[in-house]
Amino acid sequence: MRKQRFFYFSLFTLILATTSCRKYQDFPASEQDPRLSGGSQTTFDQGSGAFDHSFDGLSVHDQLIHDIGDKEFSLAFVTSPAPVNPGLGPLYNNISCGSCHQSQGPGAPPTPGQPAGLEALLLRISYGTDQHGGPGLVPDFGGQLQNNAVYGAQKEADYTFTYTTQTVVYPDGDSVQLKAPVYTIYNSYTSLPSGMMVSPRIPPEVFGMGLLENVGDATIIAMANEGVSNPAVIPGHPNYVWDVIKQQMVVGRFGHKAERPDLAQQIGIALNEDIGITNKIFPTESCYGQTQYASSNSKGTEISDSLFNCLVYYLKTIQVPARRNVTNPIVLRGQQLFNQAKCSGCHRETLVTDVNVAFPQVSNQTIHPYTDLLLHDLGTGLADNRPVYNASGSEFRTCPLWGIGLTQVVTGQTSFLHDGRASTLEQAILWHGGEASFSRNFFTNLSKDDRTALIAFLNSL
Amino acid sequence: MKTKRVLILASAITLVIALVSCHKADNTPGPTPTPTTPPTTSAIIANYCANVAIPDYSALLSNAQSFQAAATTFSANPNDNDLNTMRNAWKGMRVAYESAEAFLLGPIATLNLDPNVDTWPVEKNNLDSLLNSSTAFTPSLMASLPQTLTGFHPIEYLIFGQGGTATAADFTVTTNPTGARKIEYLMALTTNLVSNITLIRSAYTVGSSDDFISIIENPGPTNSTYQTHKAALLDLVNSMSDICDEVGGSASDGKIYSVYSTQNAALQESYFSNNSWADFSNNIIGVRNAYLGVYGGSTTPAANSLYNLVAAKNISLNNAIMASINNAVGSFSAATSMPFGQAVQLSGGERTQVLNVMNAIDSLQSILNNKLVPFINQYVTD
Repeated sequence: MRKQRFFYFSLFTLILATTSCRKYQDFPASEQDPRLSGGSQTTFDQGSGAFDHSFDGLSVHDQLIHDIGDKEFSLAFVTSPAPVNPGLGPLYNNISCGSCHQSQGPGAPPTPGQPAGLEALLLRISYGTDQHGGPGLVPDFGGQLQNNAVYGAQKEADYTFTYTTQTVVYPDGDSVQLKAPVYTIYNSYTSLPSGMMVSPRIPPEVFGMGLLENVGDATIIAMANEGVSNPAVIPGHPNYVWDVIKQQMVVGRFGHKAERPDLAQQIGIALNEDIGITNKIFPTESCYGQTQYASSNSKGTEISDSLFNCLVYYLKTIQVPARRNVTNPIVLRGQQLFNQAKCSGCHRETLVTDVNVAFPQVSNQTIHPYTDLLLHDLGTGLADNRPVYNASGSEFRTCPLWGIGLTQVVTGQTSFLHDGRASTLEQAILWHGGEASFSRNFFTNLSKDDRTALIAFLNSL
Repeated sequence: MKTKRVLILASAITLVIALVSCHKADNTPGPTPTPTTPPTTSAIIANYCANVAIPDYSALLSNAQSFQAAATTFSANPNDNDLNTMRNAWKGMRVAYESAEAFLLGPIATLNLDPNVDTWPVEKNNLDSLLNSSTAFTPSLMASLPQTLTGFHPIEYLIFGQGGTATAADFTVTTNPTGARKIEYLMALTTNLVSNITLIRSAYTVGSSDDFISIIENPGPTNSTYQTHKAALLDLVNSMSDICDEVGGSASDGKIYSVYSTQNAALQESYFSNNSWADFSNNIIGVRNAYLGVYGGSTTPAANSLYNLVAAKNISLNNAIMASINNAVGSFSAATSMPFGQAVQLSGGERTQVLNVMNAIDSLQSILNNKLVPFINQYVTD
């Protein structure tokens, strides 16, 4: 009887000891669902609305804020005074956020050979560098070429472009044509300075940005450091950019060259330069100081702070579409090849967001954006030769690949890379050079079936 | 033995009473028998194209051509009678367009065809500047104008005017310095609109350059938009839900809510014509059309409809969806005695009617999102 009592006592002690020593652990990767690209903020809609679902778990109030921002995203701006959305121009590229980020997806370049009008593609311009090492403003033109103006105002210039083509021939004899755009700026209201640098930009998709914003600086820097020692990782480096709110240099996250530190500043500059809407972060009209608008020196906020905040909140709280066909053998083969080709050396599958007690929906999320948010040299073929802070003329931030396979479904077109020159994923891969040369060469030496498998994997994202 | 028989009989009666009393009253109109075999998904999609989208867009194009004819007549000799005819023709276009907004799919969304014809608000300042200038309204100018200066709503501004005060005299040079310019702009806008609506119609023409029928009716691994019929059907249902969200939206700043909550009539879309009630109502009728697989006012479901798919598998869900659709469509009849922009500004019954419409549309969206989408995910496998 005593022996039995001792046995039970020992058992109880053992259970107590083992359970009390068991620390909290995240689920291991093997227990996580690979479809959950946005962690808990993943939508399973695979249709034309896949890029526009609000986060789960928003309160009624927060949902309303999200939806006010959603509406503002789509609504056209008009000139002041007006009861709805006043403030357009006087210079602009387009009239609403949604005109470029169509259906919250990436935009497309205009028709080659035609004068550009209201387009998704815009031309960033710079002349030298500014006092923070960023792109210097072009005298009389600013940081972006606005090819539209409100009635009676003078636009900065027109632009058009044509494609030159080149052929890539695979070892197995198959070939692919690649198109490289050549831009022409004309009808400028005053002469453009020689030495002006130009970078065409396609607007990216806008979902999942709240999650990317919550990837901590330390995580980004750690990935850069890991590249030094881990042969599976391609070394990259963060951009350090001027934060107009903090008035200091910080890690950049958004934009094709990671030139903006956070969503609010990304949205603020887009409103200001793309649509001509002054706001609380960028209150000066983009044409201020230009000779055709000598009198237009007003500062202000053409979009109210509250509406601006709604827009920022909306863009922080859009879910990421789930992966499809994750158990398909061809897709699995493609995933294996993606890793072997070291595509995953920059397009990192998994990141973990920071803990954020103020914003639980993005806190400690295991996400699959397929980016390291770092700058990498992509070679001379893609180079825009326009440095932005630490990003050289041939360096770009690794483009997130999540949702890329739904681009056609949502937007009805596919235009990849920073200027939309690649109309297929295959073309986009073949444009990679520089640090991605190994990956491109690995791809070109694959059999046709394996190339197809790798692209099938990308289409599953 | 006798006691046992009585007991069985009593139990049976009790059971019948219990079952009957649990059966709630079914207020769903339309005594449609439950089909024994549900329609296939491909048949539902084909019926949607043939009997919902094509007739709606055909009516839209036909009505646009009627409007163009009315505008041409008016422009030759502006008079109030022809102005009124033109206004009615404008409203006719809106009927067909607004019902089609329940299925904004494919190129109509992706090729910007919807914003090309229906962007709002109107760029009123630049519009007035244009009228006061001598800039010729050439097709290239019209193509270069922002979407806030083309489509339904600039036409609406011209022919109805601020507060609906436009008269034929506004279009004659003898009484209005910009009268001739208004005629020129009106005709250029109309040509531009008919051209864009022709493109919309051609999206539902097999063999056209933007042929959407071949895409939505032929899902498969090589179809870059729809790999499965289920994906196509879900896209349709999500689009039906989206228009409810856009119109009602008490939780999402929808078109009714934003005007209702601010009591600001200037925030409504069809502000100049006071056509908002008709716009909203036709949006929801478009949802009904898509669910029943019909067009043209019919409320009898087509054989190959979403209605019959749901009815075959879950009659109570079908009844609930139909009750919600009919409630939303019916809610307008009580509310439309006063223009929407005025009703929201009152504190009495009219404002409550606006609230009722909004709530009815929100309920419809809720059942589409929370019941019909899961139903399709559960039962549609191809």
